[in-house]
Amino acid sequence: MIDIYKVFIVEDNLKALKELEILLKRYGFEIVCAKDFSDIPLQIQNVKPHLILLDINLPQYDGFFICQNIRAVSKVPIIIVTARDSDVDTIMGIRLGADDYIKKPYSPEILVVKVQAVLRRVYEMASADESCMKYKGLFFDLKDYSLKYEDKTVELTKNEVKILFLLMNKAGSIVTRDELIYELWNNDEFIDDNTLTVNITRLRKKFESLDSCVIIETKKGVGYILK
Amino acid sequence: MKFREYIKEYELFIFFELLGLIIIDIYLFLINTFFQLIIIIDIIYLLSPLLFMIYNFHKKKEYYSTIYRTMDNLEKKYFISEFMAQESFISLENEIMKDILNTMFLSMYEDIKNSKEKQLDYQEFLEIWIHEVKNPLLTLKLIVANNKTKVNKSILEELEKIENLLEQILYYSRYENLENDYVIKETLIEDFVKNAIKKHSRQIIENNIKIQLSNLDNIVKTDSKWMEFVCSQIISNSIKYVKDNPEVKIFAFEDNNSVALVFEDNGIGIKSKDLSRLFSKNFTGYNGRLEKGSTGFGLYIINRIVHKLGHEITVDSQEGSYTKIEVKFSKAVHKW
Repeated sequence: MIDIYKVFIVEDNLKALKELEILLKRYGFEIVCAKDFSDIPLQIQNVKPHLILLDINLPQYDGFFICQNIRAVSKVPIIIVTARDSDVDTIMGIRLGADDYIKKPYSPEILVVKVQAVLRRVYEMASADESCMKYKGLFFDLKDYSLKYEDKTVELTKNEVKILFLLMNKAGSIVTRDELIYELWNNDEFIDDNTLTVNITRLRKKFESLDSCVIIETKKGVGYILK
Repeated sequence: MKFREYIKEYELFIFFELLGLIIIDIYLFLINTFFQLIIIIDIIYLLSPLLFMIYNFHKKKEYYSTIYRTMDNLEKKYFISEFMAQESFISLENEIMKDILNTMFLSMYEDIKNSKEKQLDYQEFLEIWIHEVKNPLLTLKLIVANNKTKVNKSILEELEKIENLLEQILYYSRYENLENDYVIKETLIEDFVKNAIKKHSRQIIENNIKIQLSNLDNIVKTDSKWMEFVCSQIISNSIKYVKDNPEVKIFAFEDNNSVALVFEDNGIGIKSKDLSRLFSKNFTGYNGRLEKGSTGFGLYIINRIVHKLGHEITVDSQEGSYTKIEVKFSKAVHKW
């Protein structure tokens, strides 16, 4: 597993770039910014980022053109940032090999969630043993939504699966409520604060019924830790 | 063209004919012509202009009614000069009229073309401008996200209002050109509804608004981009006028010949006297005046879009308890 992900940002608005850097650094990413827009593929080969955030409206070359050129040399995941809201743009971006897109002016929280989701999909799901996770003897099967401990099994609901996945993925460290909610939103599950609390409570009950020593600890006003 | 009107047109001609007749009759009387002979001469004298007038009346009547008929069948009536018949007996008038109509048409066409070009130019500029404004707007949002304070939170709320207003003007400017800017396809309701909800994710999450979706797996014939905008505006209103324990229910149901998409919130509702004028231009109503700088524009524009797409929109509300907006999609195949 990769400790720190390196994100390469291609953006010509310097002020926005600076703020983006601050934002993503706060979420633990290492940031490299494109200095010049003429030789992006070369810069990428040198920097070897884990993900590229690519603005479409650039001074010299169109972002689509750059996207195509990057694909010629690298398979690194790309998230396209576009101010235009026509579907043509997004379809074209995906066709040229982008992994996801986000429309300006996006919510910073959504951007972070998208970046994390793409990284997880590309680097963690692929390396993980197919679709199951293990933590302190707990066996979490993502295929049939079940959680096993020794000889006991419980079934999980869709939301519980997603929440547990995030908690287990960052087991031992805090996952904030916002992170959880935005992540579920990114998966089209429009849950609210109460629903999250209810889901966590249900997860705890299910953990108890399994008699495992794993617990979900509440960090008041912040979030949860899986221990 | 009536015969009486036609006679009136030839008043002077008839007058001179009769005058000539009287002079001749007096002359014949003075030279002692037989009374019978005078009658015969009178008849011969009057016969040819009378025959001419009757023939002319029928021909003209036919000519003009053909033009009127052709015009009725024409979708673009200003092309009439191209369809005017070649009638030899009034070819001079016909040619002159054709020429006048043609000249008029060309000069008007020129004017219309110019103003159309101007409008397109303006729309293009507006689109570019709106997309440009999104850049500083994004920078501001990022700055706010990096410096979370109470002040910044209220700045963010204002920024989001600007964002919504920008979206309104963008779609309003496109509306005039809607005919060339939409694709009616079979679309899953869920898709455009979910995209519309996501546009307001931060407000919904931070204000703890409960979103309940159910039965959105109907397929309707619509344009997803325009419907996404319509849904986004409806949701924006729902989350603007909230009460305690805010909740927005979005669901669809189907009957014999239509599919209805319903947005129901438990917000402050709308005064019954405001309901009928809700979709009028610049109408802000009691709620709008109460707070949050309502423009009275959002509902007006979505109503027009919905109708242009061939759907229907209705509102039902009880002040202090709920607002229910229903968009009805017809199942029949429309002529687009």
